[in-house]
Amino acid sequence: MINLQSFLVVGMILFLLGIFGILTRKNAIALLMGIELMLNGVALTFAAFDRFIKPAEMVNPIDGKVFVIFIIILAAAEAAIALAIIIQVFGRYEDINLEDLKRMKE
Amino acid sequence: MNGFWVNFFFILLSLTAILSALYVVLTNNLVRAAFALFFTLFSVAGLYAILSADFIAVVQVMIYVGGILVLIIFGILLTRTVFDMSLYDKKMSKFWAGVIVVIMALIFLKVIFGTDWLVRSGTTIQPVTARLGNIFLSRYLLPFEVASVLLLVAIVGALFIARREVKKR
Amino acid sequence: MELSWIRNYLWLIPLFPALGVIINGFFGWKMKKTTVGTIASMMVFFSFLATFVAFLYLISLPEEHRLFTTTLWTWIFTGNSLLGTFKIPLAFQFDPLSAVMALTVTFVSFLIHVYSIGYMWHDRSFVRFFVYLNLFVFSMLILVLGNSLLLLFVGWEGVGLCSYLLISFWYEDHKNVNAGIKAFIVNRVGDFGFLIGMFLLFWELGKQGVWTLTFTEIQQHVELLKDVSINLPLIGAVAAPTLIGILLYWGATGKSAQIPLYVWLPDAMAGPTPVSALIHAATMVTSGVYMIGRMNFLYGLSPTALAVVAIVSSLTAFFAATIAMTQFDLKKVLAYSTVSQLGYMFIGMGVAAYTTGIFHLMTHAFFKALLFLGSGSVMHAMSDILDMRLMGGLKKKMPITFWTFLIATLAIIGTPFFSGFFSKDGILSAAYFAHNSAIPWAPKFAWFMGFITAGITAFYMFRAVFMTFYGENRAPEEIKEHIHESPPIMTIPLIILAIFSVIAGYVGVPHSLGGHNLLNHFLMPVWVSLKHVAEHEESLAVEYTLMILTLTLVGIGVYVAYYAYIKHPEFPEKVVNKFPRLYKLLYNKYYVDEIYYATFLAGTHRLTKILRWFDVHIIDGIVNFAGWLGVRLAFISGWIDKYIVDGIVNLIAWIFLWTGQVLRKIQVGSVQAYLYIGIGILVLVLLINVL
Repeated sequence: MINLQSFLVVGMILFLLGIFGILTRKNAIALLMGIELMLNGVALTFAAFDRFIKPAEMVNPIDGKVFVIFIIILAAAEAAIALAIIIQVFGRYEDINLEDLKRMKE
Repeated sequence: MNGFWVNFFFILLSLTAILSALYVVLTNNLVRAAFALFFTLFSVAGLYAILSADFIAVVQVMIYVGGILVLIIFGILLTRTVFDMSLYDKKMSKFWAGVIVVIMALIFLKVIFGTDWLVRSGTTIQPVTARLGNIFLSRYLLPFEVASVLLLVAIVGALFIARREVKKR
Repeated sequence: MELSWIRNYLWLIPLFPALGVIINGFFGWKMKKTTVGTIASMMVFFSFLATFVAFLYLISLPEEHRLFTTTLWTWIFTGNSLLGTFKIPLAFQFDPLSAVMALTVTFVSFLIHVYSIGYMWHDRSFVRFFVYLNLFVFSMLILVLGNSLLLLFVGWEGVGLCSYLLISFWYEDHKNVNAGIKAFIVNRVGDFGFLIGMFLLFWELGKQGVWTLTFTEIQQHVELLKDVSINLPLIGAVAAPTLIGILLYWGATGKSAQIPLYVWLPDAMAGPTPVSALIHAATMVTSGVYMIGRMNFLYGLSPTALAVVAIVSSLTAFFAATIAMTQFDLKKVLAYSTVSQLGYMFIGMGVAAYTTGIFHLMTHAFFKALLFLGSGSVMHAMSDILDMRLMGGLKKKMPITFWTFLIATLAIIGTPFFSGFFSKDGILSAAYFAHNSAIPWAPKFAWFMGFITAGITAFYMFRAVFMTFYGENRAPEEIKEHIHESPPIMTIPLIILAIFSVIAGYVGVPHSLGGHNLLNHFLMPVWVSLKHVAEHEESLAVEYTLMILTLTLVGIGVYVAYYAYIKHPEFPEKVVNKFPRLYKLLYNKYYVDEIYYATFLAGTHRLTKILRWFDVHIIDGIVNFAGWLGVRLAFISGWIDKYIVDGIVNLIAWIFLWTGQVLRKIQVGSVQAYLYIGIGILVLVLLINVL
């Protein structure tokens, strides 16, 4: 049960649910949650590869974990910025519906 | 811990993660979605632990659960007039999203099970924190510093964007 | 004094101008103009000092060891691949050739920087000007100090960029912007040849097992290319050194303004005058000559390439000089004279008398910079008027400018005891005595063209002097009042350059005139291709005869100018009326710009028109035909089955509706629509990859 494929499947499911989320939601915060799900799926995949795959000659054995850390860092930065934008948009339009953001181009 | 318990926890955690993720994308209530996300993130942290990535599991709990999720809930509460609104985009049908997701799932499954993975033999579990610390300050020093700068920029940028403009009278 | 430390500190030379760029570029806007100017000039001066130290160290070394390199780091390293190891260090190299170039560049640049402080004082973009100028010096030093063809190319492109930036420096005027774009595009055409030549050299050497681009290694292994030939479509087999040599020379014709790519240089005079002096006369345009000198070991393998260089450049020298005879814009005259003098340098290179080419490069840097700065001084006084028909009589009002300009003129036409005399005479006599095994008539032809050009040069330079400084002033009254000598910050560089225009020639006095030709001895170790060539016999009598012939022709040129522009001012008019066609041809610069316009530019226009026609008639035709066919088919099948017709019609309608909706989604700026498109494409790519 504990093997590479099972972890990859879990990561894949999280990623695809994230995609489903961002494709169907129109609320910006819900969209952000979808993105977080996708990032988690990918990070889990990296961690699984790191754990199970035999490293190539030049590759450091814990490179995969480094990637995960960077993904988490990026997610944090992205969430902070995204929420700042959302709050600002809300203050301006009283709404955070993505369709309304079209008005920004005017 | 013997094989049974590891398998048990793996199945438990993955099921929690997947089911709550499903709830996140399907529910109509934003606050509930956020709490479901909490369970997903926590389960993923558990999965990291099974993958012998102890440090990452801790980071996941600290940053995702402790930071990002709290941030998201704050965001929801600050924009609270919208949390009863329908969360679904009426124009975009769920159907097409479902089709895309299924196609992608098929492709991924073919890759996952069709590839001959070069699996590493030893399965010894050893703590990884010290090695991560070393590698961040040697081989990945530059990306590490760049990431630090990125975080700093994100903080300043978020403050700048979210601040309320004081009207000059 | 112990100087060997410079071995590891060659990077100081380009570092100083780079520092100037950084300091002035970032903090210049809040500094005083004096500070900006001082920093920029001092940085170049420090660079000159560092070069001088390196030079002193170089001459303290024994002759055969006069080359040292400072390696900074490994720039490109491919690892041990299947084909072999390829490694290029980022390193600077100092040998006699680099020394001569770097000394000339830094010294002339320093003087021009100082002059510019005065010249650009009232300009709004004072700081920007000095940033560009320092950036230029930096790139030029990379070019002359780089130890590999690749690093040379970096500098080559760097100076091209600065040239472009400085030509369109006053970008509010559309004309200047166009001139800059023209320079950029024409140079790109040249660089294309240079790049191909470089790749070819790399590849052909690589096929012999040597992957390298550093000069010393190419030099060691260049013999491997001796018998290699390359098959070209339509032309047939060409010896590799010949092809590479001609391609590199193609690059040089772009940068150094030779036929057929010289057209950008006259237009480049749109930039500020110090720029014309520094970049488009003294330094950048000579980089082609430097490159051929640097690659002399390659050209040594191919007399054909050398002959091509000699023939093309002698034609350039001649044609540019004839154009210069008829121009009225003072800077244009100087620009064509630059093209012509560059032709001389290439003749020197083309007859394998590399020292004379470099020697002329050096002396030319002094006197041509002086001429341009003098014309800048005149412009300064004349409220930016450049038309010589409106000048005249400036001798009294601007004595320093006049005398320095006169000295430079005497130097450029090759008056005895001025620097131009020794260098130009060196080139002409070398051309006369040279042999070329591939195209035997090439050196003699080059000599003859150069000989005629010497007379024409004398004529048009003195024409410029007489029209500008003698006779009555023909300027409008309100400008006349303002005419004044320039401030000392501009005249002192003029005087220094004038001194060097005279004495720079004495480093290379040939043996026939009782000198020792120090420069030739100094540079000899660089010309490896000449090592095996025996000194050819030069009869002194013939050499003196040639010298006297040339001087006579020069004298005639000066006299004709005197006759036509001082004694009988109506004389030029008569000549023009007698040969109106010839005059028009020359005045319009042989219509080369127009020819380029009619062929290349109009060709492009034609091509777009053809494509448009193709679009309108063929593509739309197919669509219309398909529509027509659809209607026909529908009509026919309507007879067969009404339902199918309805089905097709509905399908078409539905397709259009659906495409319309999809396309509308792209336009509306809806985030979700973008997501769908992006993810859809991702899925497609994945599908293609997996299936």
